[in-house]
Amino acid sequence: MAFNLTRRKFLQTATLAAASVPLANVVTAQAGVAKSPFTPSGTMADKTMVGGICEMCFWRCQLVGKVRGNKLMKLEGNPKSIDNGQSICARGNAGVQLLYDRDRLKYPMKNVGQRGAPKWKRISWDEALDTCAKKLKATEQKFGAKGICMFPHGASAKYPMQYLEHTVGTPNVSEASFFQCRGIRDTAFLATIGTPPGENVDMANAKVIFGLGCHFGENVHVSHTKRYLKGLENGAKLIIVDPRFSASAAKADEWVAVKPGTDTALMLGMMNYIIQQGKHNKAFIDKHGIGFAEFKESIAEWTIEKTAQTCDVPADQIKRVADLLADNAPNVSIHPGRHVSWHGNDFQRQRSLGCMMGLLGAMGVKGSFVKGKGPKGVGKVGWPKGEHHVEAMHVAAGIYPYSPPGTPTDLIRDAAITGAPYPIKSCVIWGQNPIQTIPNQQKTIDMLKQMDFVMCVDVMPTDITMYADILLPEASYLERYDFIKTGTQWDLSGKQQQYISARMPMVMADFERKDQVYITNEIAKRMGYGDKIPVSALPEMVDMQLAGAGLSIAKLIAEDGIHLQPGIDPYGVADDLLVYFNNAEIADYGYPASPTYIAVEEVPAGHFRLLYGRSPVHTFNRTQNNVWLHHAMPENPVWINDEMAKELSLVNGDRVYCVNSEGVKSRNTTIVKVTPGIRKDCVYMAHGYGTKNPAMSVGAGAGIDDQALITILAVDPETGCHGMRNNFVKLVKA
Amino acid sequence: MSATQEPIRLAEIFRFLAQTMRYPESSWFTDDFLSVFKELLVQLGHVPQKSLPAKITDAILEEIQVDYTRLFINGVPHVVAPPYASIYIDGTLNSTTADKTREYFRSHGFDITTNEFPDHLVTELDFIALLEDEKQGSSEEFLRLYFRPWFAQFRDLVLAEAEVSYLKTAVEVIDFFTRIETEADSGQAA
Repeated sequence: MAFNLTRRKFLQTATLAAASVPLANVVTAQAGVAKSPFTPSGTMADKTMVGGICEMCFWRCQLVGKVRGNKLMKLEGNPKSIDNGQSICARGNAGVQLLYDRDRLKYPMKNVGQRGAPKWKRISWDEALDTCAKKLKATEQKFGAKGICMFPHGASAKYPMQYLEHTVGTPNVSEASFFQCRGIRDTAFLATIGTPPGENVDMANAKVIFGLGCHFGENVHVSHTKRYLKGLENGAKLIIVDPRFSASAAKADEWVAVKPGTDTALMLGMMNYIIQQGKHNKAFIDKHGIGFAEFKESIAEWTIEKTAQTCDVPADQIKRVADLLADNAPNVSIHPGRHVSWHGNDFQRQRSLGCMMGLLGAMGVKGSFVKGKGPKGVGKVGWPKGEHHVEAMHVAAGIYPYSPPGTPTDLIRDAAITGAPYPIKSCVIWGQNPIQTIPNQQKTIDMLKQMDFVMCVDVMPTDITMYADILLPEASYLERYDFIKTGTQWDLSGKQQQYISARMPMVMADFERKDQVYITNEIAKRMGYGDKIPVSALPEMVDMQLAGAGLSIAKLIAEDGIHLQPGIDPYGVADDLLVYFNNAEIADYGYPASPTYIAVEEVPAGHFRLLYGRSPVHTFNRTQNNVWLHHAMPENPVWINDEMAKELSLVNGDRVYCVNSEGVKSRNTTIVKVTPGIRKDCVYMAHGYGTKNPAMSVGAGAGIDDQALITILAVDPETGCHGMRNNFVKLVKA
Repeated sequence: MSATQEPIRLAEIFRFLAQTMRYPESSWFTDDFLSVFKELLVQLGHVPQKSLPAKITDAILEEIQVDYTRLFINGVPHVVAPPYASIYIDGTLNSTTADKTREYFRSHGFDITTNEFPDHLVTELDFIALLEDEKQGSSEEFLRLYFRPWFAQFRDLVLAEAEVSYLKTAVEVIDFFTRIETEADSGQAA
């Protein structure tokens, strides 16, 4: 379209006489710019905002933000932090990019297309909230609260999760951080040493650090990494059990290239050997052990020879490692791991780690399993519990007795798909991307497609958001108050201190992004639960929590974002500590009372077991669209043993597809990393790549989505958690 | 002379153009608005295309909203034409260009009042309107230094990718009113 006149000519001659109304009458919006005091160039002052708490990963380091206007320029560790100190990792730094990611969700949107093939239309918050509440209420009225399920993740999901669980009353909540990650560890240790372990090993002061599948350095959690590196600096011996020559294995004194899936056998073999050698901590066991005799008898079959054969590890090395542990006990860090949902036999393996701690007496003393003694007093604010209590499916069925909180994921998916034991017709997804967290993606999609309503709340258009009916844009961790972080100095042997900090916004939220309290409260009001709302706004919630410790947001700001107070010596073993080597309660439920190795399926001919892990510059899928981090590691090379690569005529840098044993082919390709640093029976890649949603313009199609290849489901019988390393792939040249 | 017969002020035009690029909602995207838009095209010597709707219905409004969302907010496969200068100048959102733009506003006695970034198309058009309110022609420097360097790329993307005519046409009208006219252009026209 060409206009054959000049602007000057137009202004000289034009009128809008023929229009139905004057020009000015149809301009209704308030201008986005207004008169303001004159400000000379270059005088926009920089501010340092305190109180930042990172959430690029779950570790949540303490931050300060350098802000100009309402723009965050840079993030740094809070100099007052006794946790991460001034250090933050690559992902922490790249939070600035998350904030201003061009693909970020900005306004509430309605899907006027299909689930999976969305066509988005911006809508008002009122319309979005009305729709969410109306649909959720309709499900509640027709099917009961249990007809609603939720997949939450992250600090912001806690408040809405409590609303749905406590007040509305659905038990059908499944957190990936439990059921596809650490839940097995927590309940296994509860059944062994009476407490979930976290990652509380005093590595900084250890004589030996033992990691089973731990790839420190590739998983970077700052204060945790500091403990690990301090330990190495102090001369700790490092033992890494991993089929792959990981970043930690590269620093190890002993790299145990165990056959995947046989880790429990290795633990049992080493413990049996230690007992046979009389090197176990008899005094500790006498005082704190329960069922040691039964345990000893139960693992007696695990001779060094049998262990070596089962685990494909040299007998001499098993002895060396066991001796190293026993000879340096009790100052030994047996790392409990974190992402432990591996093979569907994981509860037993995690129990064996707890038993090894007990066997060596590696608890409560320097260098062992030690929980810091953090501050007390921080209060809780939550939604009240409703009158109607619905039993979770696994409780009603008497299965998965050691399930973490919530409901095992597959029970929810199966119920939704089959309608049995009851229909599940509305789905709330908050901060989680179940496409990339839960194995067998098709099953997740089938679940979503039969729903009457699906709503997602997120900061980015992740894969799961393609299946939403209503998509709500959330304020990020840099734009809101919420999480209270407490703890102690990172080096447990240092000056004893405690800290209390609360997340505070670095900048105000742009566009129409809202926080979890606003969104949840508005939905609750519309669903008839307005009288149950515990707080009206996030700052109010944080102040109420802090009040219990005599603090407030204002006081924390005056203290540069972190309150410090004298700490308590964390060392010492409580008299009432019990270590359940043999736990009769587990046997009552029909599972082995002593840790027991349960063999996993062998690798089919022509295939490799697919292993996955963390990348130091990504938090699985959550950071894939971050352009800074993408540049640091744009795809996830697949590691393959050099001899196997030769057999397949693959060389470094070749592009390949992966095809699993059920015929599922990866959507994308990646490059091959040929190395002697991995066993011949497996391949490895970093998890979280290969985003499907093209709306993530940086991460989409970059690398291979390993979760898409995990179609064979393994479920841990004691916990109901998934095992995700029981799938097998071929590499096919692209 | 009725109100509508008075000569049009450039500031009013820019304010109207800013409105054309706001998210279309039933509260303002009405038959009256469309009538003014079409008349503006007539005055520009252009017979409005038949593809512009005759009346605004719910279906037409939704069609434009969906296209607007896809083009400018969050789209599949991705946002086609982000309406931010930073994207075209620096390759990222809310970058140095956004800072400089805001600094320009402030150095002329203005500042942003919403959650939008200062280099958003609508914000810049609002600012241009305010400058023109103060003194006709005073927006030329901003147009030359800040607006035109990115707008042409944005315009081309919208013209190539928009599915509804209204948005294409609006962008072309903005293009006309923000072009830097040379002395020669003005002379010819006079």
